[in-house]
Amino acid sequence: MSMIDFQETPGQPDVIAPSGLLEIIRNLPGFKEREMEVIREQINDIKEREVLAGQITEYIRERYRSHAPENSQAMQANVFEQLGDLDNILTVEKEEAVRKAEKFAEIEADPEKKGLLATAMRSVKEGWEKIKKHKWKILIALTAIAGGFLVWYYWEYLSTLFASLGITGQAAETGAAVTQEEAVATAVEGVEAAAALNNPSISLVEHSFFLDGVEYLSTDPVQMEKLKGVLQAMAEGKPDFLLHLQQHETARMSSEVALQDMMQAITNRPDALHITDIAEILPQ
Amino acid sequence: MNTLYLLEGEQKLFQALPAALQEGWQATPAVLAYEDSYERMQIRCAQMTLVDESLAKIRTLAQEGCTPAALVQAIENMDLSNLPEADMRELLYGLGPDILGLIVQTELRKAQTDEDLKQAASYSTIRHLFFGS
Repeated sequence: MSMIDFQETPGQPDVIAPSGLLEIIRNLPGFKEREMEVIREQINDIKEREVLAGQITEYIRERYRSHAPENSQAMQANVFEQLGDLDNILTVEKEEAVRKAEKFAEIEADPEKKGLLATAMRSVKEGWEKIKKHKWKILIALTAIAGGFLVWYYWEYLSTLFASLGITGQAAETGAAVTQEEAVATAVEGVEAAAALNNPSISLVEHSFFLDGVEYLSTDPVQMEKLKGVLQAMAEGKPDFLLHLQQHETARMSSEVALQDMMQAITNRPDALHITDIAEILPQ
Repeated sequence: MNTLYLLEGEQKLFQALPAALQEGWQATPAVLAYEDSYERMQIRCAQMTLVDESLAKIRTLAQEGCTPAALVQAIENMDLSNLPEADMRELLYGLGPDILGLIVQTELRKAQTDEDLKQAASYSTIRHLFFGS
């Protein structure tokens, strides 16, 4: 079994980045983009991943033993620590790949299960054809996962989505096809999807915050902006924000006073807000 | 297909439906043999083997952090009715039990017709086959 040939000229790979893995490699100090490209190509092939995982790990380890641009012990310790993370990710990726292959094979080999799956998928597809919202729901979930689920981004996305569908309070008032109730229902469903994607450590406080908040705010673009501000504030991780969140838990964000109070405790942050930021500051 | 594979909370949603609507449907307790996590969701998503270029493009756009407007445009243009069966299987497996469960719950909450329950049953069956014990 030969080691990966890092000198080979890569083509233009159809990149499907394994989550987390490339990010860790990318952050390794001193790594060149050229090496990244080759590694990315190699690990994209799931069939080879099991074999390559050990090779890649060993390559990176060797790379830093001999060629580290700053050969300090501290840096090497940092790299090796990250390699531990890399090993963990590779282990989970392998588990997932094996499980999926086994499950698909199991269904394929069982005529009853195969038929049941085909029937269910046919029905789901009919739903996608008949109900536009179903298609959006599925693809929102996909993009939320693939995109690393940025809450802030998600909100921007939902807003754009609503706009593209003509779902606004104004549209409802002017007799557009989509009613305000439907807009709220869609928003709630979207946020339920968001909450379901959350790390389990996120408490129900956040869930109800989202649900009640959006139900109240989605009817008013000005209020929606305030909710965005609140979400931004969550990324700040300020203790006073947490205090306010706890104080107003029972208020469920449904009062203007509570929102204004919270807004005073925060400062907007323009960059993206990651779900893990929220997980860190919410009460467990 | 008249069986719904439902978790405990979902059973309650089903039982809360009008008796006439429940008629003809069988709610079977579902047991999941899989615990999902955000990390695993992302891994499953990355491991989807997609043939359909439009769907693959949507995933790539999201992974690369494109603008919401670009994603909306891509989704708007996406025609899921032409999605190959293999891609559909990949997509539904990739979404995982929590997302599928969310859809089941939503369908049950708003169910007014047999067609609504058929949708719930279909998603619950897929979850059962992919992630059930």
